[in-house]
Amino acid sequence: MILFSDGIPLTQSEQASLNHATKDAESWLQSMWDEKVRLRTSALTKDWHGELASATDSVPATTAGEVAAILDLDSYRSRKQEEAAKSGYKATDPETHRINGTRVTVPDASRYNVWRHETVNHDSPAAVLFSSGMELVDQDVAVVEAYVVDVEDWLMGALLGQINRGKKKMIAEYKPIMLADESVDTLPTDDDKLVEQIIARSDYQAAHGS
Amino acid sequence: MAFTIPNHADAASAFQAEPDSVDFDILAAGYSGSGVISGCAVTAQGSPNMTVAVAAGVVSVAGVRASVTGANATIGTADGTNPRFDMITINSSGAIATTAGTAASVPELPSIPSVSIVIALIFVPANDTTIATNQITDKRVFVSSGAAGGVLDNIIMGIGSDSDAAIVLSSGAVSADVEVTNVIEGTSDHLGTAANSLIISNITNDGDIMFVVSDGGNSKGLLKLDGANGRVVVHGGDLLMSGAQKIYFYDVGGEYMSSDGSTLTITGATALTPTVGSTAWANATHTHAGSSTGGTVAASALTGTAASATLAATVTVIDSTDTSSFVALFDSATGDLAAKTDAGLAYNSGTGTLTATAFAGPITGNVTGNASGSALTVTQAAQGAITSLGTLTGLTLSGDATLTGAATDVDLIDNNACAISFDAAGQAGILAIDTQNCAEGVKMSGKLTVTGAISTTGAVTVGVDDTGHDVKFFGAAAGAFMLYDQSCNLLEVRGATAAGPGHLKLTTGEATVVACDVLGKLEFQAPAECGTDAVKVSASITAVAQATFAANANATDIIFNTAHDCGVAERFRFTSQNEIGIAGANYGTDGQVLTSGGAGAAAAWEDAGGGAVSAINNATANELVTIGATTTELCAEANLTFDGTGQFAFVNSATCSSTDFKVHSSAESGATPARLILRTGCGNTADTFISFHGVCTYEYAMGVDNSDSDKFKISGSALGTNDKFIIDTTGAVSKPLQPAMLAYNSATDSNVSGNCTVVTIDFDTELYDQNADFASDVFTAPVTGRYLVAGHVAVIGITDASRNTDLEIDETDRDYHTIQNTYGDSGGGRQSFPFSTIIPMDSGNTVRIKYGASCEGSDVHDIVGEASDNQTYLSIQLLA
Repeated sequence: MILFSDGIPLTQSEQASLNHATKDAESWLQSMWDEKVRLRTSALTKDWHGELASATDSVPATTAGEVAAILDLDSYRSRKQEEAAKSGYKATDPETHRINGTRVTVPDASRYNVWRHETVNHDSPAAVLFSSGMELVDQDVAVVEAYVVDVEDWLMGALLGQINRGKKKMIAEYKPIMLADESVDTLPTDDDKLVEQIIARSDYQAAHGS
Repeated sequence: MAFTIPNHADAASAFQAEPDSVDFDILAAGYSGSGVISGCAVTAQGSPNMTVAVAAGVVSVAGVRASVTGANATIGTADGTNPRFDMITINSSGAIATTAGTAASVPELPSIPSVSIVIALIFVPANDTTIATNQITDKRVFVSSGAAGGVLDNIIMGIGSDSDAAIVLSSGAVSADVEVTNVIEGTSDHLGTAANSLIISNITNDGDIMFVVSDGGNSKGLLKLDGANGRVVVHGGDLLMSGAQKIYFYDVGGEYMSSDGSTLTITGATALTPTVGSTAWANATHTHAGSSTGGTVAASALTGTAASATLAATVTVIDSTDTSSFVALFDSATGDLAAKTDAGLAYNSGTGTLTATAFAGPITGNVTGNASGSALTVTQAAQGAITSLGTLTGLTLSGDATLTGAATDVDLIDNNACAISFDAAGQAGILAIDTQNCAEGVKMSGKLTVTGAISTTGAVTVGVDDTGHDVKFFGAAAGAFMLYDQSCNLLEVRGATAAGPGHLKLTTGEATVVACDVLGKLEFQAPAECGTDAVKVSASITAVAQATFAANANATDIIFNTAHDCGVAERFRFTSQNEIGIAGANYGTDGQVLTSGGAGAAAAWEDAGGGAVSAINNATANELVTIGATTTELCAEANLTFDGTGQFAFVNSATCSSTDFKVHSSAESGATPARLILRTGCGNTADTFISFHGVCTYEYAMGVDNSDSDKFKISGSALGTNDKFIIDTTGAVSKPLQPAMLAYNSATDSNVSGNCTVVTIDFDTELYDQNADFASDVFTAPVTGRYLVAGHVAVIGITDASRNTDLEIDETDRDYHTIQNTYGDSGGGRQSFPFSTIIPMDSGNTVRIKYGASCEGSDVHDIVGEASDNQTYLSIQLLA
């Protein structure tokens, strides 16, 4: 399965923040996914052990075989299927947020992170992650989907979290330096503009590359 | 119609039928020639208004003819009480004008404007708004036909509809080249005329004037004044000068032609230039005025015999291309054209020999033809000089060439600009060979013997590559020489037979030798090698002054230098005090011995052995030593190394795995506590810590931070940098970078839910976010672990209609709900949702808090927010 078939575009601020938090963004996100698959595989086999035992006497002696057997159970439903079966509020229903003092409605709550990314203008991206798409093993996706309504949203949430982490840490590290720098007259109040000003500094480039 | 005074019956007003003094002014002007020549009638408009129409025409005003362009003349607003007369006039430029009279109960005509004629009067009653025909009185006086007595002086009679030609009797004189309006125009060219001259002028561009007569009923234009060409043309008849009249040329006083009836005489400073073209001229009898002394008659036009007595003093014979012309006039013939000869130039027609006493002057052309005789022979023994030969393009001498004279330079220059120059004037006796432009220089195949000294300002090369020659310098004593032996490719210095040794001396030119001055140097080099270092001098021996030379002091060291991988450096020296230096002024200390470092290692001064230890066993680089089993030897320990940079290494212990460093008691199985001590000096002013090095950098440091109250820390790349784990001296533990955050809602969000709307709680203000994991109301787990998710949400605005309210911890893998059923009990319109849960989160999972309620008619529930008394807040911390 290929997700983000057109890649994940990043603004200059996003790219710089991500690079501040991790050396290789694509490798990092891939490793996050691998860990997620490993953890959810462990959880899936544990959570469905009883169900599987009652349904069959034996399973292939591999993790992949055991997972496949669970996914084939009649009683098995992915998280999204469970949500769809709900009678009340579903994770895929709309939800409202207040952003910068304004209430906005997200059409699909399960894709809140994707929506967050799409609200940023990426018409002229500074970089594109996985420009040919992120290829994932189908069974891995199925395992994660046992717990996560939208895999793409999960990946985007992890990515946005890391971008935010890099941005906050970059600002926390360099804002005191810039305040002490007599050559700096003003600091922008907008975090993204502040990031652009930071990465243009020679001391930042010397420490982190331009 | 022309000038009139209408009857009352024909007029609009009786005032029009009354003559006015101005009427007589109009008539008087016409009588003097100012009036209308044609046109200029004034009429009412087809739809009468306060304008009248003036027709085109021609007028004569004060002797000036003017064309008038038809146009309307505007009549001013009528007076509200009294009538008036308005006057229509035309000036000498042909411009139409209206002059309003003064309104009065008995109106009078206005005065005539200067240099204008009157063409009509307009009667304007009080409050009139239109001009009818009977209000217009024609006042035109036509003057084109002139007065009965003829045209007055200065009256220009224009001929043609546009007065193309004019005739005028000018009462005054007209100066040359002066223009007269409508008669003489443009930039004129004419003679002056006397007063009362009749001037006939055709002022049409290029217009002619022709006088035509009738010859038996046939017209003949005998005289034409050609305007375009500016000529007077007599045509169709002869120009007859009656009697002894003259035809002057240029002007009266210049040349003229006249005749007495039998002879045509040309009088004045006449000249026949350039030819007289008539063949009859040659046969005629010509009379030249006695006063004439010059003039030129072309030879081609002169035939016959001219009487010498009438010839001018000078006759110029023109150049001619006639090859049959031979002219020889000699200097002695001055003033007399009789041909004469001169013995200085003799021509023997029998031998064809031309003899002249001398020839001077340039020959501007070529001298061609070969001499078949004995060539050029100068028989006189000593010629004064043969000068300025110019350039001989080739010269072959079969005999000796002797150049004599006190200062005669001889320069031989070949095609390559190489020169041999004998400079007799500048440096007497010097033969200079200049080969600077010749690559091969001077070639000499024979032997060159020079008895004097040889000096050169350029390089000296003996032989060529691969073919050399011996170069030998003899000494003053027998047997002594210096030889470059080309066959052996070596330089030999041999001593005199009696004295023995060859002697090579290197001396310094330094007049005042001080310490470190080099007296002489021998260098060794491989210049043909490649590479920056390879071509450098690789070894040298120098004699260096040890101190300033004086009358009784010349202490000198011999220093041996070699290169290893760059420039030469000192390796060994002998001093004037018998010292031996190794790699500089390193003379060791008293008692030390010079020991070999073995192959690949430098020799060094070392203390002499004590006697007991005789050897170091198994020594390799960087290994430390221990006392050997016999105590008389040192053993190298392969597992214990020190590389000289402060790095100790413990490897391959027999009881530990590779790279392990083990501290244990006296025996592996001993019970005595083992202790590894990191200790600073007694002042305790430095950190004691252990660093952990990753692939390329130090990643962790663990130890006591002396600069921070002796806290025990686990930090980042250096102790105190990015502290991750801290225990202070009281035992308090902190984790500054442990993922932990607290955010709250600072302002109430009104009407966010109640009618099934699900809202993500807005935590817009952060109190802290230690690992920067929180943004946009979302917490993202940085690592996999157990996270404490705790907080409180306050909701107000709940009505009795509400049924279910639901607070949800929305974690990626699982949701956690707090649901309250109100069912008609709003609880005072307020509900609290405290929550506290330890949630397992995968790295990258997210948490956000949601609220939803149903059954209200609309979204009336508010999420409470306060700036300081926080009621809606969220805190998440990684616990494990």
